[in-house]
Amino acid sequence: MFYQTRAKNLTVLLVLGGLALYAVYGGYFAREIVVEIALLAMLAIALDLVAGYGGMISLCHGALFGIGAYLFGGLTALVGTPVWLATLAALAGTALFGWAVGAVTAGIGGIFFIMATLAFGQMAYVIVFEWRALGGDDGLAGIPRTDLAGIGLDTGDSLTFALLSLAALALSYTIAAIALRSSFGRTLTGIHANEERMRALGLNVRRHKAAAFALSAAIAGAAGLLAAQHTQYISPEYLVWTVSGEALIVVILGGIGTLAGPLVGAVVFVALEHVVARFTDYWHLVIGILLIAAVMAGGRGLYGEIERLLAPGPGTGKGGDGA
Amino acid sequence: MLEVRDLSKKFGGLEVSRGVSLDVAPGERRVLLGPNGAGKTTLFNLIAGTLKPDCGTIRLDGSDITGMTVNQRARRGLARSFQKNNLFEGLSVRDNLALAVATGEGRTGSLLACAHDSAATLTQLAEIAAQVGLSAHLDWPVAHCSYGVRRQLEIGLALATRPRLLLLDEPTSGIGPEGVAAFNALIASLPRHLAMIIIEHDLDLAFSIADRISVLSEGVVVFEGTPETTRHSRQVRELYLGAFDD
Ligand SMILES: Nc1ncnc2c1ncn2[C@@H]1O[C@H](COP(=O)(O)OP(=O)(O)OP(=O)(O)O)[C@@H](O)[C@H]1O
Ligand SMILES: [Mg+2]
Repeated sequence: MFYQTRAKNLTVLLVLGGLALYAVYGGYFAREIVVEIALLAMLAIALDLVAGYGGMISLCHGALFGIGAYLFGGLTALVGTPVWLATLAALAGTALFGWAVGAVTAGIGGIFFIMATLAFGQMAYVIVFEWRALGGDDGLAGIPRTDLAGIGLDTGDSLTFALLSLAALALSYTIAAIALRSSFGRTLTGIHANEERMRALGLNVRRHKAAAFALSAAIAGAAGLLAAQHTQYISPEYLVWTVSGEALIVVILGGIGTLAGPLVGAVVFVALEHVVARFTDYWHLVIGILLIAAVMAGGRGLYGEIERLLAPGPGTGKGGDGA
Repeated sequence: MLEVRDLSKKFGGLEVSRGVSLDVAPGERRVLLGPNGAGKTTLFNLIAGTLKPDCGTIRLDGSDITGMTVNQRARRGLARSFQKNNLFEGLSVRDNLALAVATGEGRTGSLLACAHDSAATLTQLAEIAAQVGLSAHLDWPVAHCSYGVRRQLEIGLALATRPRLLLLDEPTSGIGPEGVAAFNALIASLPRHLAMIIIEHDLDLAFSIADRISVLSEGVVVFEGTPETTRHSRQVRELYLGAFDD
């Protein structure tokens, strides 16, 4: 069961606060990194919702991220849809796709579930890649950012955009936390713990899984549409399955089934990517070693270690909230 | 309440149910006897919807539920406990019961409110916990509970949805004489309008809790009657040879 504990509060506030300070006092490069972390963390939160709490290890979250980006990019750059409407359409469209994935895969377990989500992701990738109007391999440019001049914000400014990305991350975490704390989230945890029993108690498991996947997809899509606004250019690279793999690495590294862990995982992942890559080409090796350490240390990842430091006691340091 | 007609089920070449018919009246307490492998659990799986019959029909309160899913049947007031404990392993006893109560009430979809913490749920949870003797164990993780406690929780989960028809599959298996006495008291304390089918191997317990008894053997109902007539049935005595005498 999910509880927004003191350790989670502290972790989330430290990560958000630290990143905000880094964005404010760092230069342009620092702000780019902050955006990268914030969007990766949003994607990881979306994945943790279904994987850590619902037991649905998805390999299509990269595709959901890409679908959000392409729906937003396509509508604004090609159709000329207003940004606010394109945002709503991108969120709704990604949620719908996620709902379909959840509904179709609800009866599938284990490795076959992972393969089925991978197939959905590849399908989306191929469609985007082959769709000439979307630019195919060349990608799609000319994507606008949200215009917030009305409230005195210039989203073209790197600091403003970095802080807005952090706000979006905070909002995503809050939505996920509220959903997990609700009847909906408790029920999802119940499905993870014992699907057959939930059915025997009267739950329509397929419908619930589909709804959870839709919510998760909407958060992943939000990250994607912000990424499209950030670079103002998108390519099918977003939908490649390795993006899903990276998201899963971030979740496991940070602590699967902890919700706060994905934030920590995203910070460490992006930091290693940039810092370690400066010294050696083998930064994936470093990530790999960390990943093994995280799994060996009880499966609660980096967040598990933070929890042990902040709130030592029984019940910490082993397994996720969802298990 | 429940009308089972000519249910048949094959696993490959093995006919596990062969034209089973069974009628349970509202509020009736039916005990299902039968040797190992007779097809008792399979019959439960057919009634609960876990298995689809090859032919035959199942009616609940007059409506045909043969084509319904497990959860649709549960929503209509059917609950079951499992022969092998089937709990929410990683969670506490309290969270186990809360899931069952909230799901039984259909309060699973709210994204904002948490039915598990509502006063109504907590009241019902406390009531169920007291009934099955788990009041002192609510905060225990299920994984740390003894077999007997887990067995009580198995029944608690089935009761928590406030069913109208309750299927209990060997509720007293492996819990010792004290547990059997507690179970006997539990059944006696349950409201009379709750209909039940109980698979039971303990004949004394069966005779004391049953309104009627059905005996299943090799997928066929070979006997049905009151505890008194069952006690004197030659057929039953042959199946349970030496198990009881009078
Ligand atoms: N899913 C299945 N696939 C194949 N055979 C099965 C399946 N389920 C049960 N059987 C077989 O059907 C027969 C009846 O099994 P069932 O579990 O219904 O018996 P039972 O009366 O509940 O026995 P027990 O008292 O041992 O619990 C057994 O021979 C069993 O091996
Ligand atoms: Mg059995």
